[in-house]
Amino acid sequence: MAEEQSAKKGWVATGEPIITNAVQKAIEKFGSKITPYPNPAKEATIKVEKEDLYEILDFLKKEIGFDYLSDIASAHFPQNEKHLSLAYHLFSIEKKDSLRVKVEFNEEESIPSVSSIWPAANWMEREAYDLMGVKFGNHPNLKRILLPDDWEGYPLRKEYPLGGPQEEEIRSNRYGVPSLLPDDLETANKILEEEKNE
Amino acid sequence: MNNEKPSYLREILETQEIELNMGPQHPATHGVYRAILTLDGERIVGLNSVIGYLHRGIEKWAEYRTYKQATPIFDRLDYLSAVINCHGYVGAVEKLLGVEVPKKAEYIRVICDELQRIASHLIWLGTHALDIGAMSVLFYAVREREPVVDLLEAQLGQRLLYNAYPIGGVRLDFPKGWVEVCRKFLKVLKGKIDDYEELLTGNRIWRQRTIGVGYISKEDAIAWGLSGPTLRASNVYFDVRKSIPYSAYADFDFEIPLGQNGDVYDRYLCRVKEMRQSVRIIEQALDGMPEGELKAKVSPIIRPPVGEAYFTIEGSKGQLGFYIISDGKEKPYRVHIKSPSFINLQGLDVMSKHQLIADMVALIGSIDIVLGEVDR
Amino acid sequence: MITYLYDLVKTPFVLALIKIVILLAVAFTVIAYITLVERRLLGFFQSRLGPNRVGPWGLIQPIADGVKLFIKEDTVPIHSNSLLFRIAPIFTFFPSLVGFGVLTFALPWVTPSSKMHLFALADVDLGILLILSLSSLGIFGLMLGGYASGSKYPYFGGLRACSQMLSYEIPLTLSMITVVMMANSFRLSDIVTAQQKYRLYFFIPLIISFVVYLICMIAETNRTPFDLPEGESEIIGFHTEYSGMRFGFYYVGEYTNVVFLSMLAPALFLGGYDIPFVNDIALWQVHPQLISILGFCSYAIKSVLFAYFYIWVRATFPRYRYDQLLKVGWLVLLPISLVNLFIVAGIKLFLLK
Repeated sequence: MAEEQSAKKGWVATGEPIITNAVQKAIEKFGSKITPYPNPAKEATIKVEKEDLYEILDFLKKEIGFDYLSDIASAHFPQNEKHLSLAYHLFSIEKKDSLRVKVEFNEEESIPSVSSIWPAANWMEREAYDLMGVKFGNHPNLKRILLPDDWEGYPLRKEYPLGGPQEEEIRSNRYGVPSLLPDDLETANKILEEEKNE
Repeated sequence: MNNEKPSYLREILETQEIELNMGPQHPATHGVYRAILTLDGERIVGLNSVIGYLHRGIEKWAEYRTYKQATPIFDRLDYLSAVINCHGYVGAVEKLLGVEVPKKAEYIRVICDELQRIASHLIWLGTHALDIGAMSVLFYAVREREPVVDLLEAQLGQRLLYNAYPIGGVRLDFPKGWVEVCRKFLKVLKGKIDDYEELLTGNRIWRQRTIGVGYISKEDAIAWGLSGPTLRASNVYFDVRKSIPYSAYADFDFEIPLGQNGDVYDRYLCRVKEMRQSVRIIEQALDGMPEGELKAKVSPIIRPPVGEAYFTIEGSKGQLGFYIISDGKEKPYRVHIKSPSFINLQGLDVMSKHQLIADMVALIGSIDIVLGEVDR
Repeated sequence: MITYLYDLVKTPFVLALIKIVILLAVAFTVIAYITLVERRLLGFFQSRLGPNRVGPWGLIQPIADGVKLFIKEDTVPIHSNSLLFRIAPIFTFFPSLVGFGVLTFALPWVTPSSKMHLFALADVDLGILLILSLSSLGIFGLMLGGYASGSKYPYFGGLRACSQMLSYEIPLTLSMITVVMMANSFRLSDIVTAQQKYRLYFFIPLIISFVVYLICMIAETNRTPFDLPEGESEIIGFHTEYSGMRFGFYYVGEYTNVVFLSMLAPALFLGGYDIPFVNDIALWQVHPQLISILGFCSYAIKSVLFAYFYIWVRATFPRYRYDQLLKVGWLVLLPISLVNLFIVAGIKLFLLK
């Protein structure tokens, strides 16, 4: 049943939405812009739209007191209507309250950066850009962080192969060891061309 | 802590900033980490961190293995405290499944976690002291770590990368005689921690090297998302074991050491006191060990309900979090790891403003980064 | 023919040559084996064994190290100042070797035919002055090596080494001057004779000078806790670009400095070749050769104590940061040694006649 659901509508979480005080206050302020999101592990989750994201996160930090940004996690759902999603995990140090804010969007859209609200988001967003290709607007330094600067492709996407640029070579090589080519560039190129023509 | 160049010098002397590369191979950067420093004389005015030398694609790899098959790879994140990583992942899966781990298994998990925390802090102490110049402390710390690793080997079967816990509990109970050896070791360890404090804490040279260095204020530390002793040294009471209690930590009575100024000396003191508190926790756990099962009943092929879960634990470097999205199949759909060293390293930018190059080494040692965790 | 050779041997020139050969042989052996002693002692401090595989108790280790350094490739970086790069290590190594010639190791040796041979190579009138100028020469080695390497890290190391050694020369000199004041002479054997005459080793009345000397001697040789120029885990140091025997010269030069300064210290403060609690000079009239040998042994033991102190301090303390190092030198040691100088001068003028 769950598999059928996920096949038709894409990935939809199961469970009941949990409404904490913080979620209540946010709903009072923003109304329909915030939808509580179901979660099987009983964690408070809300879903917002990309346009209201910055405003809502600002409100959550300043009025409700979520001063600690724990994590920004990205995910790719090619089977959904909106392909990419981000999850902001917030925590309040004094009240010991946690909240997850989810936003879903497509590849071309750019998300406002929250590094002016929480400076911690700087590298987290760079990592989301690097590995998943999420574009952020207003980011102070949006460059690749874990991969080399001239890497092509976004590895964590579902269509990216596990072996990266060497996927075919790894999968086709039966013993798992890349064959050693001689140091001399001409002979090495000759051998490679022969193998290609075979 | 304003260490800027005085204004009269700025007007008279025309100086040029140079770029110094603390390259990926450097004995003091604890792994392959590259820092491009912009220096004005000996003062650091800019820092550009280059990481990713140890990126292995753990998050992507976990999507191609079942939940049980994926467990061993998370040891390789923070390879110096592998038990805690495993606990994080297994805890996240259990949270998603809704499985309740039996009490006895929780106590065994707490004991192994705290032993691992002691081992990790000992390595930190040794390498931090070595970087600052007191080379003998490294050998003493490694000598102390041997019994810990032996105890963990007797229980879990491995010395460094354990694949410690199955999903649902622990595999085996303690071997015969393990508890006595552990208690004896804890008594010895308390004396040895006193020795290290005597060598370093009151030592004038150590204090001069570490007090006032790498200051970060309370607000900055929270805003930059630091965690672990790096955060607690700035007088912020945030420890996952107390703030978001998990496992059996609510049953134990222990303190969270806080520092007053957020400098390297306070981080050192916080970690040393944490070692003492870990000893306390293990003693309480050994005393109050309940009877019961070792593992909850979990189906052989784990298929969690469609949804997501985020589980954080107090790793030895800070708050380690696992975010698992499942789509009902036997392989996780997405695993994201919140790694404390990655985020603490970001704070290095703020901490190293206007410090000297020689302080850079003390700073990196005090943040206690492990590149496996930074790069995943 | 044989009498001709015998007379030739007794000429001062050939005697000096023989003394040089003996001195160099002993000095090189001591310097080579102090590297082994340091590594083993450090091992014992750190609850491990040092090198003990190469021979019995690791005794062939220094020879193995020497062979290794000799057969390594001698690289000279392209962007370096070639001439300075090549000659820089000489300045670390040779001044201290020259300084060995000034030390007196025991009371003079009396041959069966009642000829006295001094136990020093060249006991010059201004021994202390010569030693101080030689140690100033020693700074060149680090400075030139750092500058001529053509890369940033050694450059930093060289700058730091230079300013560190300069700033610790002054308290060193001032504390040596107090000893000279008490002994009324610059000659090293006169200093020892003065200590024998007073029946009091100088480290008791000149305790402040002694402590200042101990600290400065460690700073002069760039050893922990003052070893930031060659700090192995930080700036790596001025000798980054050196390999092979050129690096060997720096390495051995550091230990030569250690051995030299720890041989100088007993002469100044601990009574040199004087055997404690024994009236040396009176006994020497009676059994000259025995007292000479025992004096040499006592000198050796006192030097060993200082060398042990060097190694002990290295195993225990963290490293000073560069600016704190200079602060200690200029703001703490210099005023203390200046005040000490005035106090000793006052005591000498008004109390001792």
